[in-house]
Amino acid sequence: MANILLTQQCVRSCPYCFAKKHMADSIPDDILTWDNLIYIADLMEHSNEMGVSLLGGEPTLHPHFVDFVLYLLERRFHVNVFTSGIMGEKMFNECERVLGKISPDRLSFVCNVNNPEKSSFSELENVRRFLKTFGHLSTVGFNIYKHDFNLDFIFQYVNEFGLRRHLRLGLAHPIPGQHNIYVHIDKMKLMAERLISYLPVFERLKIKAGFDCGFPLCIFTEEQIGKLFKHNSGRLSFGCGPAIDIGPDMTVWGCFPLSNTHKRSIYEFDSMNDIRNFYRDLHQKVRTEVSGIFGDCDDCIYREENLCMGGCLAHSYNHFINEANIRFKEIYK
Amino acid sequence: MTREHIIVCQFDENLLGRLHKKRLVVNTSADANIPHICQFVNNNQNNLHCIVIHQNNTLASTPFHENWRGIPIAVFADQMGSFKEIMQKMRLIRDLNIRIFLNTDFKENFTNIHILASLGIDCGVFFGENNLDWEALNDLMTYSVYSKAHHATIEPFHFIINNYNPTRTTDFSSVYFNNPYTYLHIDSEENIAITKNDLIEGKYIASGINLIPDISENEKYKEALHSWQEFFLQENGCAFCQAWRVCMGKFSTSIKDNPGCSKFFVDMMEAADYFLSVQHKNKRKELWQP
Repeated sequence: MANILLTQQCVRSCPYCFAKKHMADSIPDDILTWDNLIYIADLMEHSNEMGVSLLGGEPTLHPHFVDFVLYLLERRFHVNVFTSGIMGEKMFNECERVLGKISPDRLSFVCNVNNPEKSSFSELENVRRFLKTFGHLSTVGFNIYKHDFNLDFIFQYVNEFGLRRHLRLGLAHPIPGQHNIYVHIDKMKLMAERLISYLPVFERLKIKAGFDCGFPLCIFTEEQIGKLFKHNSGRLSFGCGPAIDIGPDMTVWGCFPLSNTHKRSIYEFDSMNDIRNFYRDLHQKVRTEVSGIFGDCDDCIYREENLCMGGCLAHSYNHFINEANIRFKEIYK
Repeated sequence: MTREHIIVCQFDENLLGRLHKKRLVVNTSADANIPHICQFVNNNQNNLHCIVIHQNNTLASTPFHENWRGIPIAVFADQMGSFKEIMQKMRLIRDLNIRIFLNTDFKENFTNIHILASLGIDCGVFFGENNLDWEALNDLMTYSVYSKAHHATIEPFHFIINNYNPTRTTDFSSVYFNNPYTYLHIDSEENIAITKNDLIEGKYIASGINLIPDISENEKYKEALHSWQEFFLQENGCAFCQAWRVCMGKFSTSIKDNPGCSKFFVDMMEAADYFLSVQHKNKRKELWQP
């Protein structure tokens, strides 16, 4: 599923934000136009991809956000919106009036939440208002950016607002050559332990935890893998593949942490598959140079068998920052 | 050869009562009773070609109704209005036998038409009074002709590419019911004119319904049919333009203030040529039959 950025503006400034570099380099007023949305929708339909994610920045800051959602729904796309849930009164009322009654089969939200202790009162009020109204359409997303994270407030949200019983766990990644907060490689096992410590609560509350990209397999012990396997009914993913992002200026890139490398124009491609193949090939080249985030990744049979992709590629790119250009030349473009 | 014209008039029961066995285009407003007009026309032994609704308000405020199904309708509106309101009526509009025209005077209409066509609503532009944004029109034409994505037709591009003949002129006035070979305009006093504007401005070619069957013998009518020849008498006039065969001087009065028509119509012709070549390529072999 491709991600379409409606706007580069955001209402928050999360310390771990791996879109920070992209946002900083972008023109803040740049928003997706109707004509470009139609072009993307046409390209996706032509590619038989009928699911689309809308994100930003904060997508609800786009003045035509609701109209865009209605348009895509009318074209029979399943629309998933990544939002902070923080929006102005007028936009919230419009969303409630127009989108509130749309079936969860057609529209869903991933509400990315931060620890309430680190959030302002008004931010929290906004998030609660959003979840109260759109809980039935919403999954909570949480980005882990330190090993001793806290998930208690999420369980509370799920129960209080009747959210979907699924937690989308993201892992904050480094932006190559930049400074943002993320879980360092040597702290990943601690982070994994912390996550496993929450499993009994997940199970008691019948909430499933799903991994976003970039979790390496070997940060979990055999026993922990077994627990996760049972918890997720055998559906475990330790992948890292190109998540195609499309900017308001019609540039595309292979995922946010890598947004400052290998940006292309969407017009260079004939289908979504072409875009995906381009970035898959490129990522493969990087993995040929640096197998994964750990030294052991080179000889790992699970990586060879693609059971694990060796963690987030952004870590691999970090290897290239302070060295001469000795790798595949495509990596540096 | 006597030509059976389609008569364009206002919805006037008195006038319609005097017309028999004619194909009619009936102009009306958005608040009119559309099924009643359809029924009235057909009850008077006339055939309804199309009802043209002139919407003075936004397109979104048009009272589209289930009972419009099957009736050929064209809506001319200056602006689209609320997208959300349109979306509420989208399923119905798509089911209607309708074509929606928006005014080029409003820049956002190029995008609005793009949206409507991509949602499967047949639509088109109608040319307003202000300077035309030829680039925006070209973008819309490019989408209309070249886009491989599913979309509805956009006029007048659709008409041009479907009627284009590289060896002849292609007059897209028919899209706006103004081609004298096909349409005649008539008012309640039975004044007959070539175009809607001529009728409003009192430039009549004849007066009386009884004159319609022999209108091809009318001198003013003949003049109107050949009025395009005037362009050949002007030095560097539109007739010398590369795109003459498709444009036929329709923008001659505005060309000084708003050049760009020539480039657009050259691109339009290229698109029509392309469409023709695609059609030719896809033409299936017709095998002889026993």
